[in-house]
Parts: sequence; structure tokens; C-alpha cells
Amino acid sequence: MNRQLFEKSNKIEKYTFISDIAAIIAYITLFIIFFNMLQYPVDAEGEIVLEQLEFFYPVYSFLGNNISFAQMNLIISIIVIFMLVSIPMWIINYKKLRSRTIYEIDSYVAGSKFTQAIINLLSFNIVSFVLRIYNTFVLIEFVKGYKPKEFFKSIIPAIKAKYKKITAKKEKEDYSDLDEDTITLRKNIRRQTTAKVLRLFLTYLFLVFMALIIVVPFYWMILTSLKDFRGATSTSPEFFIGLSRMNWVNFKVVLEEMNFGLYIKNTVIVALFSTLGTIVTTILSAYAFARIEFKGRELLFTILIMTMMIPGELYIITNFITVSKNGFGWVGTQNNNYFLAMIIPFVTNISFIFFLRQNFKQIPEALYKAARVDGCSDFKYLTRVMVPIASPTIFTITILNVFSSWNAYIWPRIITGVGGQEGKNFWLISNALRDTAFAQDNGRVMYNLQIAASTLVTVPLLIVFFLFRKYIMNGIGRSGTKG
Amino acid sequence: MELRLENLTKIFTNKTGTDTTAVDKLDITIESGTLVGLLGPSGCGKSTTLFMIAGLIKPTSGKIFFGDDNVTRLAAEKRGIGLVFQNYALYPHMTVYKNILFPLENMDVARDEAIQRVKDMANLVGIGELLDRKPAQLSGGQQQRVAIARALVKRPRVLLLDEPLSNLDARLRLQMREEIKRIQRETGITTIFVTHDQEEAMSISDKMVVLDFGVQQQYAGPQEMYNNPGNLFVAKFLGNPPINTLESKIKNKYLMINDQKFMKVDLPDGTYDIGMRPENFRAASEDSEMKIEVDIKEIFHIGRDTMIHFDFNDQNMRALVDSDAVTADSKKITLTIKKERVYIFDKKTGKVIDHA
Repeated sequence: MNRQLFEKSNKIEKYTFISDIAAIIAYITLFIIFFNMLQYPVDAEGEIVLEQLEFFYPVYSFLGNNISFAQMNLIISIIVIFMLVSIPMWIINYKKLRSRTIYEIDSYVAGSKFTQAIINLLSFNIVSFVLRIYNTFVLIEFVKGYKPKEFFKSIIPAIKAKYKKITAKKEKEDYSDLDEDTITLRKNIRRQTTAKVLRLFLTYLFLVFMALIIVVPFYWMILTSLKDFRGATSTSPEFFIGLSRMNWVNFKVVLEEMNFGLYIKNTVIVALFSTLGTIVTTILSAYAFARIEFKGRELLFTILIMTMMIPGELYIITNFITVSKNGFGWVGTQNNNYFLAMIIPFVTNISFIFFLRQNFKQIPEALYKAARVDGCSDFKYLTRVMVPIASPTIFTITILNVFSSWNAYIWPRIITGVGGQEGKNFWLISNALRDTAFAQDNGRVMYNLQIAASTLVTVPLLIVFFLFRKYIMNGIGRSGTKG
Repeated sequence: MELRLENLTKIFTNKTGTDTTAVDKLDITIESGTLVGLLGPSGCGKSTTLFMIAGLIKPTSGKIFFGDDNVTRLAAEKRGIGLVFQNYALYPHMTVYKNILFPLENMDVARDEAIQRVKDMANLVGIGELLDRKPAQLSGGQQQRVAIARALVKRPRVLLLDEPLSNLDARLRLQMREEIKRIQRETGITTIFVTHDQEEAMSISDKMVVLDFGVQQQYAGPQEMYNNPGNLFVAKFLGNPPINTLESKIKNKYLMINDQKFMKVDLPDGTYDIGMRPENFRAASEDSEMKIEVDIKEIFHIGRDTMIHFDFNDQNMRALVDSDAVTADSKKITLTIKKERVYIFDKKTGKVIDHA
């Protein structure tokens, strides 16, 4: 009986899952439709007129209804909020769907189903709402054995009992018939509890404060990117703005003004190949330093470690000579190859080698011996045994390397700067961000647009961070300083 | 497959240039299909010998023969050996199935045959239902079986086990001991089993080799070695409680104990090392041939038997006697021992002297 209920609940869960996907797809489609409808002022040649942007309040029509500028912003804001709520919820449910066992179900699970149902109702996802409410009752029956009717009957007594418990006056402790020792003991216990509560409170207060220091700049960035020009440059900036005052058109203007696709493409190419190169060189050299015995291994490794002490900026000149016409001639000659110049100097990373070598060293020697007896060559041992075992570390290295390629600024700027106008086509996203001013003709810089562009660049990294934060924190924690 | 070691020597040289002889001129012939226990205290070169046979350590000198093949210079993977490690060395990221399949993959065995062999082997060692689990999800005994299956699946000529039971608890150890014996019988593979646990070696082996400081002490069947130890080291190493040893003199063809004539021996006069196992003592009856009365120092009742402590030539001795022979307040007892159970060792060489 019980197992049947559990399986029934799982089945409903699967249907809910599908309807959630449908809802998410609907939200995204709606977002795209409305985002595409957004208009900005253009002149006769189709160029965006930044001067008029702040006074431009078009009226849109959707399915025969007239929508004002503020209403449009409100609609898009609501859709974005729906997406922000439903996508993480969907990911969490997806993880639970695969790992849930019959022993993990309790009334708390039923409660969280109910909460999720309410969220579904608020985000107009009626199908999921109905399915989740149904699932809640199935789970209640599974956990407590109540049929829906009995459950509703049981609510009122439960609330009454709770109310009584809360309002019941605490009986004053009577110390008269206790001896001295017991009284001191009780006092000590009370004092200790107070100290513990106070300590916890202060700890969390401190943590919240530190978290705010990190979160506020991000919040401010996203907030400013949605403000209009006056709001962004106001001397008394607002900390909150209403949903209908969020200027989603900013992002559209940025995407239109900047050649976003090209720069993203350049960045992805550089990040991809430098990461691939880093992974290959790191794995091979970490294996050599961890497992293969050769003369001068320790000396060589010490020298490599010592190079970590030289600040990266000092390499720039020597690296530049290497890639310029006195060296390989990848830049500053007739046939410029900017990508090679941007990728090759970064296909190895000492701290990653060190990091992975330590990881490889922890793999027991006996495995190597076993593999040898099993007829496994050194290379096969590396690919079939070492790499899979160290895969979390390698994954961390990948992510950290992608981050640093994404954030690279100085080197790509120098390399592309050699080429003048031609070099601009090889800008990475960070260079483009710095150099696209969004200035009006009279020289006023549209800061809200600049911030919107930065937001567009940062958000992918934030998403990656939230998805893989376990691995990233792992890597930062173990490698000590790398971040 | 007969296995022959000829003059096998391994000398390790450390950074300061000091030599350590781990294995010293080992000469052993292991008959085909036998299970041989390699026994010795820790640091005696057991594992080094095993790894030399496996090909993971290069011998300094000497030769290793598998049958008629000289494999001394052959790489480990070409020798056709199965090796089970002390800590099992299972690949943690692979399932049991893949762990067992791994050696076959490297040997390029055809897919269908490989799958069949993995399944057969898993059933033989009794882990047929666990094939899709990871090693971390198995108990110690199950991991042990997987390691044995992985070693056996490539049909090795020789199976080598490096202290395979030392990570298991006492009860499981007994069980796995019998299991290894069974698997060895069923497959008929020549097997070498390294252990420091004498009881384990004696119960499982067809023959045993006792090593000390890399030197072979004795090579014989377990009971034979127990009853007739070749030298003082073997006598001391085998047996629990350990053998009683004492210095004693032989005067006028009589072994003297507590200044009494204890036993007639046909040996020249002089000082000898004498060994007597505690369990070989008996409470003497009227017609016993050799007997001696001793003062009991202490009595320990340990269930079936009673352990008594007494002195021979001012050296502490122990004897296991029948519980009926002594009461709690016994002060004296008359003990006897069979003549052939008194071991006499040369004082200098430690070798046993035949006196029967």
C-alpha cells in the first residue's frame, strides 16, 4: 500500500517536472517576444540616438491591446522574476528526482511540495500547481495515513494545540526545595545557553555583514543597469526601483550598439583553446612530476615553483618580444595571427601543475603496480585511472582557467593594440567593455548602458559559479591563493 | 606451472650509499599447483620476494623460472601473473565489473569471451550480484574477493597474494582463508601467499617458507616444520604460546636440568640451546620414563587447558597441562615430555641437532 503511494507520488512528480519545463519554455518565449518588441529612438539612417533615449516613451500594441512604456517594463520584469524563481526550482527538483528514496519522505517534503505549489500559482503555472497540490495530499497520506478529508479535520485541533503550547504560561521555577548545588548548576547552564545564543547571533551578524559587502556591488550593478539615465546619474540614488521603472530597453540598446557576438566569439575561442592547452600540459607534466622517476625531477620542479614568485606583469614584455616580429612574428608583421599570440602564452599554468601533482600523489602507489601487472601502459594508466580519479580537480582547473581567460584584459589589449583598426576585430569582451563608451554626441557618457554591458558579461560567469560553486571553492581552498 | 627461484638476491642502496640486503640468495622450487606460504617477521623480505616474482622489483642477481622459461628480465605484464595487494588496489572509479574486466581489456580479449570470463570469475569468488557496484560500496571481504577475481580472470600462471587478509576482521579472516584455499583448489593455480601470521600460513599452505633477514630458514610442509623445526629461529617463530627455550649443559651424555639428569642423549659435552613446546608437556604418571618435579610459580586457567609457570635452570618456562592435573593450590607437579619433542640446537649456528 505504502509503496504504491510512493510510486504514485513519483509518477506525479515526473508529470510536474514536464509541466515545469513547459512553463519555463513558455516564460522564455514570452520574454523573447516582449524583448523583441522593445523600441528605441533611431534617426533616418537607423542609428540609435542616445540623446533621446531618456525621453522616449513608446506605446506598444500586443494582440490588439495598447501597452504603455511602464506596463511593458512591468510585464518583462514579472516574466524575468518568474524565470528566476522557476528555473532554480526546476534544477533542485531535478536533482531530487534522481536521488529520492522511500526513506527520505516525511511531512517536511509534503510541506515543501505545498510551498512550491503556491509559488507555481503565483507564477501562473496552473498545471504544476494542481499536480503539486495533488502530490501533497498523496504524500500526506503516505506519511501520516490521513485521507484528504481527515487531514482537513485534523488541521484545526493541531493549530489549537500549537496555540495552547505557545500561550501556556511558563511555570515559575521554584527554587525553595532544591539544594545549593542544583541551583548553581542550573544557573550555570542558563548562563552557558545565553552565551551560546549570543555567540551564534554575533557570528551570523558578522557573516551577514560580510556577505552584504560581496552582494551589494552585484546588486548595485544590476540595479543601475536597469535604471534610466537620470536615475543612474542622480546625486541621491535610489536603492530600490519599482518593477515598472526597470528599463529593459537598456540591454537591447547595448546589444545593438556593441558588436557583442563578435567579442563573445573571440573570447570563447581564446578561452576554449587556452583551457584545452592548459589541461593537456597540466595533466602530462603533473603526471611526470608525480609518478615518473627521472634525474633532476625535484630540481626542475623547484625551479618551476620558484617562477610562481615572479609577478605576472613582469612576463608581459618578454612574452611580447616572443610573439612580436623579433620572435615568432605573430603580431606586428604582415600576417598577424592574434589568436595564436593570445592563446599560446597561456597554455600552461604552474600553479595548476602544482595543484594537480599533489592530487596525483595522493593516488596510492599500489594502483600503479596493479595496473602494471594488469598489462596497462603508463599512458593508459594516466588516461584510464589517474585522470578519472582526479577528475574533480581537473574540472576545477578547467573552470578557474575559463574564468581567468574571460577576465583577461592587459595581454589581449596589448596584442590587439598593435594592429590598430584591424586589431579591434580581435578584441576580447573585456577590451570591448572598456572601449565602448556609449557616449552621447555632447560627450555625456551613458553610465547605465555601460553598466548594462558589464552585467551582460558578468551574468554568464555568475551562472557558471552558482552551478559549479562546490568545485570552484574546492579549487580555491586547496590551491591557497589562486582565484 | 613450476616456479623456481635461483640464487635470488635483492640489495637496496639508499642515498647515503648503505646497502641493505632484503633478500639473500633464495633458492626455492615450488611444485605446480601448490599453495606456498611465505612467512616471516616484518621486514624480512617477504614482499620484496613476491614483487620480484611479480616483476615489479628488479632482482640484483639471481634468476626466476616459470616452468622452463627464464622470466627474470620479463616485464610484469608479460609474465602472466595475478597479484592481490594488501589494500586490494581496486580502481575506485570503476564498478566491480569494470575492475575485473580491466586486465582483459589490456590483453585484447574478444568482447563476448571477456564478458563471459568476468561473469564466471565473479561467480567463482561469490560476488556475482555485486557487479554494478563501486568498490566503496563493498565490505572489506567483498573487496578482497573482487581483487582475487581481478587477479584470476586473466588465467595467470602464478597467483601472488601479498598479505591479503591483514585488513579483515578476525572472523572474516577465517572465512576468507578457507575461501582462498577453495578457489586455489578449484583453479589449480600455483599460488604464493605472503603473511606474517603463522597461524594463517600454517592453516592454508601446502608448504611454507620461513624467511628471516632475507635468508631462507626452512622450506617444508606446515606440520613437518612445526614438529621438526630446522633451527632455533623457526622453532621460536612458530607456535603460540611460543616455545620455551633455555640454555642447558650436557654432562656425560645426560641433559642436565635443575642439576638433575633429565634425558640421555648421545652428544658430546657442552652448552646447548634447548627448546620444548609448552603443549608437549604432560603431567607424569608412575611409569613415565623421563620426569622431573618442579615448583609451580603461577597457574593460569584458560578453559580447556591450564598454563603453569615454573623454572628450569633459573629460566622461566611455561607448560600447558590438563586442567585435571593441577588444582588451584597445587605447589608442585611432576612433568614429562616425549624424547623426540625435546629440540636441541647448536649454540653457535642455531641448527637443530638430531639426537633421537
